[in-house]
Amino acid sequence: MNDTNTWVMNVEIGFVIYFILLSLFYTILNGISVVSLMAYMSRVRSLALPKSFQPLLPPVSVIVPAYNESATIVSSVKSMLQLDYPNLEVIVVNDGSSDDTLAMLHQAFKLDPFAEAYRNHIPTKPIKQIYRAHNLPHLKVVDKVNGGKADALNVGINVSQSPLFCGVDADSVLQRDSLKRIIMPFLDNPETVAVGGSIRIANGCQVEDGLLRKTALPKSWLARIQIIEYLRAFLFGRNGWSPLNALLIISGAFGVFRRDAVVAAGGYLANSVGEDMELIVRLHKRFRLEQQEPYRISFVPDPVCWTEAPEDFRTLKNQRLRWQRGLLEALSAHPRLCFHPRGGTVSWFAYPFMLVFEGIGPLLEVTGYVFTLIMYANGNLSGEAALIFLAAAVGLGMFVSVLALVMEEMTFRMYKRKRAVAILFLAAILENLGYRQLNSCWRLLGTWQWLRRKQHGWGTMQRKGSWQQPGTKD
Amino acid sequence: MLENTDRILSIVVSATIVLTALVALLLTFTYVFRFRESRQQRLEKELRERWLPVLFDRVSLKDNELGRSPPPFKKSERYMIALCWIQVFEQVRGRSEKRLRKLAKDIGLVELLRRKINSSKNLQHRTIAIQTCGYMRDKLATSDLHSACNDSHTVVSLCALRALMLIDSKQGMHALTHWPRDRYWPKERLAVILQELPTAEILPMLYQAVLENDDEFAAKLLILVDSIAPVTDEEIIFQLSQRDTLTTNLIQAILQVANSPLLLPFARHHLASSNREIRSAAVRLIGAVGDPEDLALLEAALGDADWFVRYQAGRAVIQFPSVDLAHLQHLLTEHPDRFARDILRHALGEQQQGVQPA
Repeated sequence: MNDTNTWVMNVEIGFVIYFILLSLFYTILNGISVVSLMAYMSRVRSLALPKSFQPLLPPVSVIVPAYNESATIVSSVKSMLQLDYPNLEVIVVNDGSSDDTLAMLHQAFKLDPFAEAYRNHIPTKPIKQIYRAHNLPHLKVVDKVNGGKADALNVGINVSQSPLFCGVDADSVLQRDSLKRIIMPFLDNPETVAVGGSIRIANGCQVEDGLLRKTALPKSWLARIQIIEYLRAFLFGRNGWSPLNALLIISGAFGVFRRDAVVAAGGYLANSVGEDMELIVRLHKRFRLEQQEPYRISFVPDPVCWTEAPEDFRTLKNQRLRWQRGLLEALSAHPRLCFHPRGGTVSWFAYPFMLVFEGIGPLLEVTGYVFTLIMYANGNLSGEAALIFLAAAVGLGMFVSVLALVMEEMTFRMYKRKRAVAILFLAAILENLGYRQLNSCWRLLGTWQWLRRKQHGWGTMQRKGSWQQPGTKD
Repeated sequence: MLENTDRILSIVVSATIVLTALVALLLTFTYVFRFRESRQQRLEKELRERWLPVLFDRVSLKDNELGRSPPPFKKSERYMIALCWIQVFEQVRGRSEKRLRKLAKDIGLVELLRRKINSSKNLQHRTIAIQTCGYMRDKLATSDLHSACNDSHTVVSLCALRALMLIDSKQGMHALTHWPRDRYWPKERLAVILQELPTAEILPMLYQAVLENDDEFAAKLLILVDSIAPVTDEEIIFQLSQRDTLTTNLIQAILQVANSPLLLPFARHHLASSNREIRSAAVRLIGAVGDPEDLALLEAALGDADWFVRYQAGRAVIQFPSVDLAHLQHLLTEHPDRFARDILRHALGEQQQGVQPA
């Protein structure tokens, strides 16, 4: 009995150490992020230079892959067309939608077939027809055979004529100056190959004709908790990795890339659910291990892109399963990057961190909870040990979440009302009491699906779109 | 058993207290921060309300009027006052500028800020100080501005360069043309700075610098010249093209900015370059100023291996003076290269839609 108890105690200590290490790494990332955010804010505030010389801004192609997006596609495209950027080309790729996405586009923008001489740098599913809008020559619509999001993005890259392209989700809403802000790292550092933008949750906000009019908290607690998650992921996670040039993911919802670098890397990986992360990992591998050239993958912390978060458990579960499969797909596709002597911060910090805390993490977390409960119920584990485990697992998680919120308050402060801050503090606490554990279970399930190598589609995203208003005033 | 329960309870209570205290601390911190920020904003608003009428008063004064006297201010308020001053200054021209300068001189703003150009740790304060000195045409600040031009912060160095240009364009041009090779100054920002100055004054200096510098730097400067005004000094471009050895960047820059038939042999020669950007720029130049016999070269370029060169050739052929509709129709159906026919159709479609190439 004593031997069993000692064994149980040792395992329990292992779990506690895991949670402490996780929080420690997050806190270190937080530290880096705080310094970089403060420097960024100071730079932005003191950017009293004359505005960028418009004609010299590099041309950008905005690529919008769309699959069965008839409900939101027109307002999304309008939002893209209203972007405040001088050299802009918008390419909507209709990925063989089975609904009337293409018909909606035809109706709204009066499309004419166009004899586009596009390049076939990246192999893709066949293009049926390319259209250009009658009165908007910089709007292209590509109708193609269904091949998935990555394939649609690749078609967009082939058709694009600009040195930079920006991948945007069809349901995202951009701020008018989004492109100007996200393009800055390309102007400031010629080695930049990709820049990610910060994504925020649009639920509760007011969007009118594709433009964000007012930010407010959503009514659903599930969406409020996701606001905390996004703050933690973008303000701390990505912003912490960026100064180390070890950012492993740029969200598919909004990111700008150097076209030639992506084409040389082979484009997005078709049939992948984590195509956004896989591309970034591949770019790191290419520049660090194969080409050994200086490069930068940066992140702009300004909130520039708004997207809808799921408000029901079913959709949320599908999304999280997909994210977990995508993460594991991306990491497992490039194992050489892990602890490679030439890999620098990516190989020695970011990749192992992602693998241990994001890849295998859910397994350790769920096992930890189940093990503690069973052992405590059997009497193999003392109440104190169980509580210490809970304090490490839950308490430190709360601390990190609250820190992210404090950081947001000190920088962008998107939610102006004091009541909103109090609600978000509560959400940061509640997130760790049930939601996080549930999320770990879903991620574990995602790991299982990935291990079985079973082909799973994108799942259905139940969009409410209640925040999208077709031109109604407040 | 009871003892055990007590211990568990005490751990639960302690953990809850610690956690609650931690969260309460962070919440308090957030609210204190918010309070401080809103207080700061209120103070700034009050300061603006006090100073903006004084500043606008100076703008609208007649020459013989004195205007209301500036209110007293604390040393800590100088940056905010300078910021208001800059904002008003940037909106006005002529006499109003002079009057605003006089006001800043009377209240000793420049003296307060000049020494902060390189000594302040706050980036925003430094840029405010630099800008104020620049707008004040403060010659005493030039040595500080010269050292600020070498600052590791791009924002500070560019602000300092701009201020130097405003104070004395010669000194500014000197700093620009002796731009440290390891420093990256985006051409977009430099172009804006240069556009603020009288073109007639800076163009000769820039042309001179183009000729005096090595290939790499000359290429950068040439692009800058072109961003300010179309390159008209054909002789200088021709002289550049005659250098014994030319780097890829300089060849590309020459072909990109040139608009003279003098450079046609140079362009024809570089149509065979292995660099696609050079070929593309050569096609553009031939398309713009080429002789009728150059059409054959452009038609050959329609079948180039690179899409951008083909695209440039397509646009050049369509706009070529000696090409009529019948010839275009002939090319569209009879050109032996399928890619050439495709790109021509594409370029024709874009031209009909009025699309300008990116």
